[in-house]
Amino acid sequence: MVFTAPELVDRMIEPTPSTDMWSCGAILYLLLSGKLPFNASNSADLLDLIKKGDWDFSGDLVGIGNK
Amino acid sequence: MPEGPKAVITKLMVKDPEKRATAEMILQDDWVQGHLKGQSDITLSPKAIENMKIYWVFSTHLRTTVCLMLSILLLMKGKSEFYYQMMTLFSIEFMKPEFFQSLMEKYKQMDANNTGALPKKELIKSFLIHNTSSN
Repeated sequence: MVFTAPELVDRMIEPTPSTDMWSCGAILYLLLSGKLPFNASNSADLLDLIKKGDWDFSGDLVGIGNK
Repeated sequence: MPEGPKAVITKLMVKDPEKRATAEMILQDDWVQGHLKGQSDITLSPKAIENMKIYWVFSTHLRTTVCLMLSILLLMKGKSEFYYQMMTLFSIEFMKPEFFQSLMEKYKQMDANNTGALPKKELIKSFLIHNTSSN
């Protein structure tokens, strides 16, 4: 659910290649930062956040360092 | 965080699917191209590797564990808040066709006498078998 693309929230449509790309981005975010791009205490709030599609790099991404 | 991966994430996590980068576009990205040519500008810190390990362990154990937990929850059928929260989580996150298929297969395996119901005895038995085989 945390990797769901905004256009999939609230709509019973099949995932498309572009929703997969969103998920790739969200997974990359998680892998590099150890944090989720969206955070909420319950699933309804989480889906709302995703629907807005509003995220940033505010949580300092600690996972990687410059060579 | 280096600008390279930041730019890739920014291109991928675009709200409008029409404006979102395609796989082809990401392949053309400078940072990705650099990696494809073996020029890495970043090193993975131990912290990043730890993150990936946690994710991997979580995802492999998850599906087998969830299957059993779901069966137990179905038996509970209580009206507790916890029950509903767990069921919502399961239905959103795990009820994909292929998962449902494997769930049904596991269920049939557990239902040794083919009654279509799972008495406590059968549940406990399969739980013990599952636990010893996965450890």
